[in-house]
Amino acid sequence: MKYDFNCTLAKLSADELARKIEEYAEDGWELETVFESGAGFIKSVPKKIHAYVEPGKKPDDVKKQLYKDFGWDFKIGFAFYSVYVNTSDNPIPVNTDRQELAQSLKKSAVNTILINVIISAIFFAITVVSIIWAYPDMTDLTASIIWEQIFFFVSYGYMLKIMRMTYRSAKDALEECDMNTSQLTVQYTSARIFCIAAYVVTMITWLYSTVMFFIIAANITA
Amino acid sequence: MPYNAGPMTEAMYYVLLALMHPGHGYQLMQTIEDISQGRVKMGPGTLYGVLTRLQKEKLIVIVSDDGRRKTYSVTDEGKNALNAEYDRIRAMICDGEKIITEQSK
Repeated sequence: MKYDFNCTLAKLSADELARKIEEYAEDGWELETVFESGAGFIKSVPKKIHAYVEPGKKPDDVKKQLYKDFGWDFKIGFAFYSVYVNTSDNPIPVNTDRQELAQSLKKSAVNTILINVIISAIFFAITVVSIIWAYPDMTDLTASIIWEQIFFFVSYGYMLKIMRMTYRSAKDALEECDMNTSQLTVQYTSARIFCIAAYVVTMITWLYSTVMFFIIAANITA
Repeated sequence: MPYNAGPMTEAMYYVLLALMHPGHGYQLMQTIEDISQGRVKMGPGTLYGVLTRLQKEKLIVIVSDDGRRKTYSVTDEGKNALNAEYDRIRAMICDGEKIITEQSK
């Protein structure tokens, strides 16, 4: 069985990823798995499909059934995205009302970012507490803390990727949406500011974790 | 508490209209297409988002749930909100008619 893994897909927004999945299907590659770092395809027969990548948590059975009734089959869920595929020639698009799309995207972006900020805050607090309480003078560091920092380093790096994808999807969607009312414009300006702020917070936390890793590693080896 | 979230989106308005008779997702889309004589087509993402929001705002309720499909119906609060929106749209049309008729004379 032939298998193709494309790691450049992680850089794409949700819409761009959907177009890529369609291109792969036309070339005879069927989507099998998606990670935050790329997507895997297995060799299949070439077929024309429509793909839709939706930001947000994994759908429940009711949502899957509703989409299926319209011909959109749930294919795969990963991180904060779900992929749906429709094989009919001229399907009803998943989103037919831009105002409604804007509202749901904002909600999804804010929820995702809130979760990330909370997790970042918890990790940050654990790091600070373990440094201050367990190793107050930085002279008695053991190998256990370096593992803790490696764990944080990887976790923050992962979150940073998710944040980047979420931010890009929200940004693209907001730019596409018609801002018909001042209420929506205010909502989306605030959502975008929140996206940027959360992204910066995660990046700072990740950098902090990286710096701490090297400081502690240097301290232990010395 | 009466609905006071401002003018409804077209999708909200048509979903409430369709739910004057209880129905589930795909039935609603067909009803909306019939009511609007094919002008309004509603996708599953839009429909799901509207149903979730209307339910949260207590304008609709679930009347049956078999685990895969939920059937919804409009509440009294939903009917009031729909009537208020109907009056608003009607007033807009009246205002528009005055100006447009004057201009065409």
